[in-house]
Amino acid sequence: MRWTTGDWRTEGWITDEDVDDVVGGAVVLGSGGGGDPYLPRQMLRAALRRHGPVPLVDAADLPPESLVLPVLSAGTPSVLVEMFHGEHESARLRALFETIADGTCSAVLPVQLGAVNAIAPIVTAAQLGLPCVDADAMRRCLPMIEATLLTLAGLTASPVVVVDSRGTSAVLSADDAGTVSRLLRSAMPHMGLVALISAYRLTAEECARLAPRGGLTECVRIGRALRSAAVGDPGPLLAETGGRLLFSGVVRELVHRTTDGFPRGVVSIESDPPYDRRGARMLRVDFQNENLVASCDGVVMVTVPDVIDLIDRDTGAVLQTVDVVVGQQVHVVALPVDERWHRPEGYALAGPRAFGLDVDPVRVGAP
Amino acid sequence: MSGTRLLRIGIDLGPGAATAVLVGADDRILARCTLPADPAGLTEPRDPPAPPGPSDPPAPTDLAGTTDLTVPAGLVRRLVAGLLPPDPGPVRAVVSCPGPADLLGDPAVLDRVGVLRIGAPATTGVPPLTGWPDDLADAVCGPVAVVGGGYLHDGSEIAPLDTGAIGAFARRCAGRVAAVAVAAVSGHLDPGHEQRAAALLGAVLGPQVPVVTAHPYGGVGLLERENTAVLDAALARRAGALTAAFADELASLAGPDAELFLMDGGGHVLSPDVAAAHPLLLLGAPHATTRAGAARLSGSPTLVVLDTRADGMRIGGLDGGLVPDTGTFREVRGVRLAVRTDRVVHVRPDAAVGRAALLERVRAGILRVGAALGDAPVAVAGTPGAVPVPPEAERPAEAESAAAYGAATAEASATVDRLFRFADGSLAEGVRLARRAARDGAVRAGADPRRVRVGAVREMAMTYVPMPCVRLRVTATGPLVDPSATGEAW
Repeated sequence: MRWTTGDWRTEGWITDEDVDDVVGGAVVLGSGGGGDPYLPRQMLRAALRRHGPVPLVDAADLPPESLVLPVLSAGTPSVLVEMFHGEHESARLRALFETIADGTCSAVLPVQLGAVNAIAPIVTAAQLGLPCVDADAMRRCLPMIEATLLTLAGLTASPVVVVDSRGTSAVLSADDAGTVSRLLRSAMPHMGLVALISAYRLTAEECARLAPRGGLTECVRIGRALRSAAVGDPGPLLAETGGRLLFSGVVRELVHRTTDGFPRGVVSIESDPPYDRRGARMLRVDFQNENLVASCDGVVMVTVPDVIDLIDRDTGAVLQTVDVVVGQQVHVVALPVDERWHRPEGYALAGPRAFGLDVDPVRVGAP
Repeated sequence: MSGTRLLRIGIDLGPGAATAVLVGADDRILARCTLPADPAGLTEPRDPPAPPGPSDPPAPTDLAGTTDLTVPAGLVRRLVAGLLPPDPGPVRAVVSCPGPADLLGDPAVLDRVGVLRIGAPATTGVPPLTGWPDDLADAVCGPVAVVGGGYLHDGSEIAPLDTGAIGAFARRCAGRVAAVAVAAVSGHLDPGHEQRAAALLGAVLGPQVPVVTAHPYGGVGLLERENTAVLDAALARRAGALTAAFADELASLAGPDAELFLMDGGGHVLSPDVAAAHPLLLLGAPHATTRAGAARLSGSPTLVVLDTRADGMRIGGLDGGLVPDTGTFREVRGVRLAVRTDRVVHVRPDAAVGRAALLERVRAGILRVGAALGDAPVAVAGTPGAVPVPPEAERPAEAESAAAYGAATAEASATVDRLFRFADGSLAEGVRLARRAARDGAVRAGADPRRVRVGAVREMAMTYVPMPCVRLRVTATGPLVDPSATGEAW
């Protein structure tokens, strides 16, 4: 075993056996975005095969002054599946990050839990021979790098380090998160829309204090619940997560609007027969990258920051909303997220109005 | 041969009895021929390969299998001989058969192939064949290389094509593989690097080693195209022998100018060359062909078809003449392919339950398939079997020959599904390019340029894109060029 155990205590390992579950659970927390699971499964399989199992650690067990390396794949999922990461980005990312942040990394930290971005940090950890912290900064998938619980705790995303597979790299830094996000968006096309990035400088001690624990093991638990279910039965998932089944029906219409570079869309789902005397009900899911608002016949049922997922009833697959097709038969489920997102400052960062939708936040299970 | 009209033969090789029809210029059936299910081979399902583990069952297949090519070739000979009049004039035969693609899950029939990916330094984090079951990978995997080249989303090169590395790879393959699969990053946007690599490989390996490129498959990622090309290559020798056997039988009966096509899983035709290089396109062909035939016989391009065969009833739909998109891709033992799934409910004969219970299963299947299609009519195709047909289903004239008729009247098609940037153009320009590419593809596949129909362009959102671009999907379809109607020598 190549892992030395002097510097950390292992909480567990991510092994080949966990691949389907950790990816399956991450798709659920992607809330309709975060990328299709097939490529992330293969990324993780390949990394584990080459480098062996990855130890999961608690940041409190790391040297307190050492840095953690937050890792995200900033790729556009539909482009990433075409041009996925090479093997050398992680070493260059770490070297550049350690230079800029002036420290030494003792572990990798996931930032976002979606299929691609729960896996990219584990793969990076495997490639670097580092452990991965079983924690993260979002507890779900959100499209803005500043939309984290670390931001709520007062940290800034800068400096952001960006590397691509061809050797291009950039360091982005600004006083406000909006400027950093805009710089990142302008850099991405020059990197083929696929890059590995790091953001937030934080020590292991800060990580232990601020980043909610257990994100990756939660993915494994959710994935296991999904796998235990009969095809298309959301019961075990809902039991594991405290979620609710909102609706079951057939996708009748898809509207996409992509003209301003912010893809927005609406999926309209008609309820299954038998109908009551008002006829079929219609559920509408507004999405932009992730699913944001689910409303039924004009009444808002659940909004971001809680998670909203569409599940294919034929296959049991938790869907990427952009891949949904008319005629698909789906369940719509909603799952609660970390309590910190449900405070006013959480809603300001990741409530429906943060996405330009003028509705009040509604939580899963709200009357 | 001007002056005589084209005779079209549609051949359905099962599962179940093999049937064929002769169709005249007015789309009417002139003659029929049926051969009973051959107990020795074609229509009897083979013993499935032993599953390597309980979590990895062999791929479900809706196709009958055979390893003996003389069986399907002999059926084609007997059917064509039974239908053709003396001095037939121009003839086209279209064969719907499971082909060798149904053997996918069985490592024993797969050839060893070389795998060349063009895309370094990107993509090396996931080598080719990652995630394949060990027995399948062991059977298929010859030399593997990931070399410099491929394209970014905007069409610029990731790296120059590494021809030196390709030459070295070709020499490693020589004498060790039956075929080679080539897949490049963004090869479906620009096949240039794949085509140059294929030429280099061909120069070293010679014409007897097929080189299968992945770029004809669109709408998915590199891994899916690569997986599909690898399995295509592993079956290419067998598929080539099958199409050559069909062509030989047809030529011996109808002359060397007779046209041969095979059916694909979308209910459209493939040229023998394309079918030989990409046998996975044949997946699901029999049931898709039946649906196309039932749609034309009943005059309803949107419908639910109850395809009754010896092994039960398959319930599937057509939407505007096309197999409805399920939004998911086929997986064979966990290996994802660049071929879409088809929502088909298979109701098998079941002596343990009564007729009423079977009828309930059929009705549930109709509801499930029909949910995507509005109030689509339900049509029966094939010969009534052990699975009961609900009385409300329509039975069009010639329903028992729907599969063969679907082959005889099949059209050519092409689908474009890819990303279009409109940073320096407009969305309308992207739509125009997509429509034109689909139209050109259908014509290349054999459609009459004067009669191509371009379907609705579907716009699909992309997530986390920091620039204006859009994924567009559109299918063009059209009847095949009629060589007897052009007045030109063919």
